[in-house]
Amino acid sequence: MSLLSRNGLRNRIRRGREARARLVESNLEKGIAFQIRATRDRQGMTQAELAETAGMGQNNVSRLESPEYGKHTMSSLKRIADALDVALVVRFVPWSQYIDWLSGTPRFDRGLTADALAVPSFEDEEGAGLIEEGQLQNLIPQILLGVSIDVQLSVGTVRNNTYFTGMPITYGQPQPLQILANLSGSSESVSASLTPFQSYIPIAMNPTTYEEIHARQ
Amino acid sequence: MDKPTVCMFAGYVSEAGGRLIQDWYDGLPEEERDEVKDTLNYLASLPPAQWRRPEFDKLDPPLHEIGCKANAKNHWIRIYGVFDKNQRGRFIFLYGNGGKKVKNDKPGKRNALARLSLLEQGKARTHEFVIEKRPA
Repeated sequence: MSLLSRNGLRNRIRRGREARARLVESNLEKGIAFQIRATRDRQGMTQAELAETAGMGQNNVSRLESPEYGKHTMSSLKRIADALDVALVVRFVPWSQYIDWLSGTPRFDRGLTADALAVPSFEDEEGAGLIEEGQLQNLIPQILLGVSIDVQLSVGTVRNNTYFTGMPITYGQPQPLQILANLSGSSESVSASLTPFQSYIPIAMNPTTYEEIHARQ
Repeated sequence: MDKPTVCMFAGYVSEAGGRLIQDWYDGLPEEERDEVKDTLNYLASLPPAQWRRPEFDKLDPPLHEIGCKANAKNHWIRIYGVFDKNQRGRFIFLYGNGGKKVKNDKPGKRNALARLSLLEQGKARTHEFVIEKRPA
């Protein structure tokens, strides 16, 4: 569990470009150093053994394991990854994703998409409200419960006012929205919280039309 | 559910009730506090047996030092402390120093040891260290 909250990180990146750059610098250097050390320890390797496997000097490994170093090259990181037999990811990410990761906030990752390649800037994300709200914060209870999501979007009131207009509704067992509603204490807040994620729903949540919903009832 | 951190941090509370390290930390410039926060976040994710230099150093027993570089000011921020004998995985901060030109901080270490002595005599207490203030 991270000691850093999403709210705290959100305030931090809102302080300005310099503060954002410092956050990346601090966590990039510490992250690489701590990861190499911890992974090497996990594999029972000494610095000298890792250096030999990676084809570099022990001093180089020692420098890479220092959070003060800050001059990593792609080449040396690839060699270390290969020597530890782990994958290496170097990519640009939106700020909302970064603070979700740093704070341990669950997030939907849709893999390689146009958005993942053309990364929105801080201003773009702030304008879209993505810095303010965690992408999946309101779905955490569902994720934690391991409930499979089966959501349909209604386009009008269904039957005897059981559902609100535009509110996602569910069928079958279990009913994750009911669980969410119980946990949050409000069906309306569940509806509101899912609205930003409607674009994901066709991909992940098995949508059906209003007519199909009626046909099933 | 979230896994708990593998190490918790506590702060020294004086006989008069002053949260001396917490006050010192809260009074650090924002960017220096951020550096300390990031360092503690990484340390808390690893078992203390895996803590290493330069951010963790063993001093004369039983004292340890947690430190980080304040990049903007190009100097070290040091916190002296000890592992709690009564609670595994709990590190108690005793004295903090963000001085710019401190190489061998003998007064700081002496101060930390004096506070440890008061703790052991039951004249002082500890509190859960607040890394990040929650919004009111």
